[in-house]
Amino acid sequence: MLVAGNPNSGKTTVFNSLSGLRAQTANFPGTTVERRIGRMKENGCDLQLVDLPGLYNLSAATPEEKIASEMIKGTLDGRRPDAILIIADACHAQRSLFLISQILEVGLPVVVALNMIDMAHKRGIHVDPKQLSKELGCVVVPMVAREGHGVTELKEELGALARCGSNHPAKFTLLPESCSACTVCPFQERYNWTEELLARCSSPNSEAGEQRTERIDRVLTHPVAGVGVFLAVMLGVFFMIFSVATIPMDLIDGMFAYTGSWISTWVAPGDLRSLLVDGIVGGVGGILVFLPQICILFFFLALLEDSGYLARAAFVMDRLMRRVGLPGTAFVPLLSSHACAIPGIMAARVIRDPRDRLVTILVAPLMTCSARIPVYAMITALLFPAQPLKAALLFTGAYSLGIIAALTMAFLFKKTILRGESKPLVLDLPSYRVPSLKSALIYTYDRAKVFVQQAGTIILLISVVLWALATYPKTDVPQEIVQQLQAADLLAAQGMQESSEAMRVSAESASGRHALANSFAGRMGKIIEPVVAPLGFDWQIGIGIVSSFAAREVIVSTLAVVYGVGEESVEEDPVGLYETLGRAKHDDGTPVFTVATSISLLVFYVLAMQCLPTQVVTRRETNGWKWPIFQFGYMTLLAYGAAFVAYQVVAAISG
Amino acid sequence: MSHLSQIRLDELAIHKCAIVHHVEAQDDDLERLMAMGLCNGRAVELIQAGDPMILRVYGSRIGVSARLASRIIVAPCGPEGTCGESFHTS
Repeated sequence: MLVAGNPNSGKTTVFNSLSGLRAQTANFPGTTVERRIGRMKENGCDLQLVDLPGLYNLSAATPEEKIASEMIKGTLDGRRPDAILIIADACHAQRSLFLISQILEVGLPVVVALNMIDMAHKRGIHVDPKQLSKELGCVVVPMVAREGHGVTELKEELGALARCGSNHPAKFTLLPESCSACTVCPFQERYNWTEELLARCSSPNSEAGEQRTERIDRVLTHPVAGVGVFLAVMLGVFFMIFSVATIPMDLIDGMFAYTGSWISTWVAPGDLRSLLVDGIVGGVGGILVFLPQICILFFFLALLEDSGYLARAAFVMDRLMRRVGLPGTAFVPLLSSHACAIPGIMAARVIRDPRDRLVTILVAPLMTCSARIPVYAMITALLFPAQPLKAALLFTGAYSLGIIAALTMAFLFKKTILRGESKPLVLDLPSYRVPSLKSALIYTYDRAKVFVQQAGTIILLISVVLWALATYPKTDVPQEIVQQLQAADLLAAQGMQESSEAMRVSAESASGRHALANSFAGRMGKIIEPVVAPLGFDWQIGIGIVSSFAAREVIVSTLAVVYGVGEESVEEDPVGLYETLGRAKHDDGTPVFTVATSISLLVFYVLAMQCLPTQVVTRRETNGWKWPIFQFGYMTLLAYGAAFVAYQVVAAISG
Repeated sequence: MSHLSQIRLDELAIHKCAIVHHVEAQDDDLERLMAMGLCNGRAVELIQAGDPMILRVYGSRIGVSARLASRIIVAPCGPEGTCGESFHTS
């Protein structure tokens, strides 16, 4: 059974109240259009419900609407649905009836859920469900899905329908044959019919009760004030992400650290333990730590969407976004990418035009996400230790660079490979309402599940591969380190615990550095050194770039190892790492992290695509590897080019 | 419906209403608008001018870019015209 209806008709709320939490989210085969499948039991009947994308009519334009209308007509997979549940918004009965009449003509058993009758009553719209049922020749169930009214009745009707099969012959023809001639406006006849029908089923329409929405809209859709309010709202959301999210993030971090040390107590030192602790637990934990931010972002976006506000945000941003050739709806995905590109890319589904959506997905990872912050922090500390103003300016510069690059690339893509004017704005501005916490939570849970399932499996695999690259081939511990360790043992035997410990730590860090330098990752770092040398990078930074291929923040701990600070000390004492890095010297004695190299590294990390989970999500949202590969390619080239220019210019200026 | 006083929808005065007369160069975007109720013979009111503008059709608000609105030809309901009366004009 299919669940269809206009956008904003409360379709998802009805679907959730029928199927509960057990719904499965997946794409329609071979597409990027999402569907949710749920089950409900009524009187021993097991009903499968498919939540379709919202649509206004059956001759649809967007991929979502096309799939929905093909599913209804049964032309998508050759299987006709058994029945269709149509959710109609009582406040906008005209528009709902338009769709209902089209679906009735398909000739399937139909149940109409007349939703939001409470809001309609408040506005003085009284639709008589019995009369409507008589006129349409199908069951009409009045309900307020948000408060659970009418859900039982609806379930009973659906159960009855399932038991008796199609007892509704549904011979419904609205338009006479002659109407094939009315080419002027095929919609006119149908709306004439809906008006006549509604006149018979409802009291005269009055416009009362809408003033509240209109008063709010006068501010929220104002070209200036509206933008201001929107920025304030998003600032609030970001504040929540960066303040509240730290608690669960620390918890997850702690949990993985605990799991790691727990494994260490059970598994003997060696490759297996290293694989489990550093490879699997460390790799997966490093990605899952972003889950709280992703969840909070989705939760607030769901609340804003449900309240009706997000449509206003898209409305006010449309004028500004159009300058780079994107619609206003692209703004929220791009802004969300400042927390994490993954929810940003997933949120790009709100963009109607497939080309605009693709452009948004391609440029979203250029925005500074929270994984870049540790890298920015490291570089600002290297350049401007104890100079908060300059450090803040550098941070701002890095953020601005990401935004400018994203908008410029979007503009270029729209002018070249994805040419085309952006679709003119056609946006329903629903009435404001109190958002449903339950719906938002279900939505958040759903998104989080998709992220963990999609990204989790591939991340696990890549974590293992990267671990192997950094671990193999094994090399013998150099002679001087062995001697150092022996000396440490000797000191311990003589009772000089402190100097013994210090010597041991220094020897172990040297051994770690040696092992990494000789591993595949280390060799790759050396191989790419000629390539990255024009950017001012040496082979140690090369290793950092190789190791942060899947997750950019890894470079901080990698540099800690290659420059011999020891991985553990990074968290305890980041300042120590920055000081050590600042003192790092080339073989010829010149410092590694000059101003030019630092700026170049910063520019590279602002622009480079170093996040495998994002690539996996791009693949899911674009239905293939073509676009994620393109995304990786153009961002790497952009990062390389920009870092090259930055290094050469800064090096020339600073002499 | 007077043919003399036809104007483009983006030329409509604020808070005034009009009856859609016809649309020019129908495409996917216009078809979508029409399915939302903005089709021949229906009443439309301008709630907020500008680009994009806000229209009221059948009690719902729709944000529409001026470019699209300029392809919709309407007949204003006259100086005293209220949208409530024109709802059942067909």
